[in-house]
Amino acid sequence: MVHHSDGEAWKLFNSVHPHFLVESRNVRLGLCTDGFNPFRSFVAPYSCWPVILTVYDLPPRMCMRLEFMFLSTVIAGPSSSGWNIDVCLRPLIDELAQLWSFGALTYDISRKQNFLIRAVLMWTINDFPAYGMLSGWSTHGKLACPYCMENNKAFTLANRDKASFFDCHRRFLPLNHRYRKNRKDFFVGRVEKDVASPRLSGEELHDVVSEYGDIVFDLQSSKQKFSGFGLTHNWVKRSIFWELPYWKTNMLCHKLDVMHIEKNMFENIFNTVMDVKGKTKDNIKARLDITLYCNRKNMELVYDESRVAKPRARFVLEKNTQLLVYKWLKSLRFQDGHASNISRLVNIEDCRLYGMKSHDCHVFMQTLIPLAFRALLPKGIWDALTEISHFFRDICSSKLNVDHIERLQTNIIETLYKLEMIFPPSFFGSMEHLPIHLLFEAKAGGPVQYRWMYPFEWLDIIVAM
Amino acid sequence: MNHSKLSAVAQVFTIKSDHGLSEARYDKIIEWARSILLEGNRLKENFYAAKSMMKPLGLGYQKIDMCHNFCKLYYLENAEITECMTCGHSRYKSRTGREKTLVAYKKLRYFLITPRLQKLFMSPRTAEHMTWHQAHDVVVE
Repeated sequence: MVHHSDGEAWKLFNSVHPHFLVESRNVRLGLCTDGFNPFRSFVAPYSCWPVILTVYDLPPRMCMRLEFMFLSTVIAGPSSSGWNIDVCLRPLIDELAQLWSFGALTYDISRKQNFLIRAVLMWTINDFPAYGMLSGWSTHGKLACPYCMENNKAFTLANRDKASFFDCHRRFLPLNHRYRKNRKDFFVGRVEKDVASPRLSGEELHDVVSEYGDIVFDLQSSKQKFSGFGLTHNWVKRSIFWELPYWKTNMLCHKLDVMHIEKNMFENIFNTVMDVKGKTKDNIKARLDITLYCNRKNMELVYDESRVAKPRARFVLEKNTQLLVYKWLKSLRFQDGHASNISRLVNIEDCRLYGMKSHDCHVFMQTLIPLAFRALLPKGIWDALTEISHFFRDICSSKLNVDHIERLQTNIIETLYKLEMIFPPSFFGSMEHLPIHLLFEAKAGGPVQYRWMYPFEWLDIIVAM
Repeated sequence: MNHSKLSAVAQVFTIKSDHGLSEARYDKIIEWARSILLEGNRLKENFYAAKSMMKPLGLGYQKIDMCHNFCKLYYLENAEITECMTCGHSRYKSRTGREKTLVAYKKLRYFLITPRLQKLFMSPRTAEHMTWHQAHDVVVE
C-alpha cells in the first residue's frame, strides 16, 4: 500500500457507491481541524480553529502538500467552540451535501470538456480531544476509547482520580493464550475470559446515535447529558456529519492521529524511565495504586517510623546512569534534515529535555529509544521499549504490506501486555491504549503520512503568519 | 522576463503570504520597487490597490455572523435576526457613538470549496493528476 486508494475504506466506498466511481474525476476529501493560538503566546487565552480540507485524489508526491490543502472555515474567538463546533460547520456540511447530491459543473482543461464534479468527505483527522468534538463520542473518562466504546475494562484509579487502561489488552489475545490465566502480573487475581468486541460499522453506529435525540446548542450544551452518559455510553451529541447522506457507509469516519499518540506515549515513557520530577507516572500515588491493584511487593511503599520510602523501580534509571544518557544526547549529531538539533534541547544540570517538538519525539521514539537505554535497563524492559519503538517505525513507513500489518497486530498486543507487566497502572492513559487500534486504521486508510497531523499543523503556522 | 500587471502582483502576493509580511512592509517594498522601475510603470502602488485588482478573480470568503456563545449562525433563514433565540445574546455590539455600520460580536469566515475544486481542473498543472488513482488501481491489480 502506497496510497490511501489501496486501503480498504476507499475500496469499500467504491463498491457501495458504484455510481460515484463512474466519473473518475470525482473528488475525495479529508477534513482536519485543530485549535491553536495564532499569537504564539500561551499567556493570552485565544483559540482559533481553522477547518482544513485536503484533496485525496492526487498522487503521493502532491497529496498533502500545502498547495492542495484548502482552508475552509475559520472559527476565531477567545474561547473554543467546544461541542458547539457543529454550528460552525453548518455551511461546510451544506456545501458538501450539495456537492454529493447535485455536483457542480466544471471545465476540465486536460480533456477539454465540461463535466459534473461531485465530492465526498472520506474521514476527519483530529487530535484526541477534537476527535470527541467532531465524532460526538466524548474522549474523556473511562469510556474514552471510541473503538472499544462501552466494552472497555478501564477503571478510575482510587488515588489519582483518572481513568486507567491497565489490563485492557489481554482480551485481544487468542482464547488459549497462557497470559489470559495469569493472575499475578496484571490486575491481581483477574483471569481474562472476554473476547474483544467487534467493531461497529457505520450503519450500526448511525442506528445507535439516532436513538439519542438532538441537543440544543447553547451556552450549556456541555452540561446536557443523555441518560447513562459515562456508564453505558459516552455519546454527547449526534454529530453533524451524520447529515451527510453517505457518512454511514464510510468504513472510517474519524481517524486517530498517530502524531499525537506517538508524542504522548514517548513523553510518558521517557519521563517515567528518566524519573523526571513532576512528569513521571511512577509517583507516590502510583505506588499506592500498585498496592491496591497489583501484586508487586518490591514496588510498594516502605513505611519507616517517621518517613515513607519509595523503592526504586526496575524501569527507572539511577541518577548517574541518567547523566550518561543526557551526556550521550548532548553529543548527538544527526544528518541534515533528519531531525532538529536535539542536543540543543538537553539541559544536563536540570536533567531535563526542554522544548521537544512533536517531530523530535517522533525521531526519538523511532530511532533513539532502543539506543539510549541499551544495556542500561534490564533486558526484558529494554525489549518491550524497543518493540514499541519498532511498532511506531513500522506503522509510519511510507509503504505498508497487508501481511505485515496482520503480524504487527499480534505483536502490538504482546508489546502492550509486556508494558503492563512493567509499568504501574497510572502509566496507562488512553494514549497508551490507542496503538491497538492503529493497525485497523492503517489497513483501512493506507499509509499514515496521508492521515496524520504534521502537514496540518504546519499549515496552522502559516495561517498564523 | 515579461510581466503583466496581474502576474507581477500575484507573485508579490505569494511572497507576502509565504513570509507573513505585514501590509505596511508590503507597501514599503512596493514603494522601493517602483522607485527603481522605469518611469510610467504600472505596478499597483500599494496593497489596497493590488487587492482590489485581485478580488474579481474569485476565491474569496464569506463572513457569516455568529452568536457570541456559538449557539447559532445568522445564516440563510436566520440572516435577519438580531438577537440569539437560544441564549438571548445580542448579535451586534452596542453602538457607542457615530459608527455607521453594525458590528457583530463574532464572525465565521467561510471559504467556498466548490470554486477551489473547480480551479484544480482548470489548471493544466493539476488537472491530469486528479485521476492518478485510477491508473494506479489498474497497476496494483
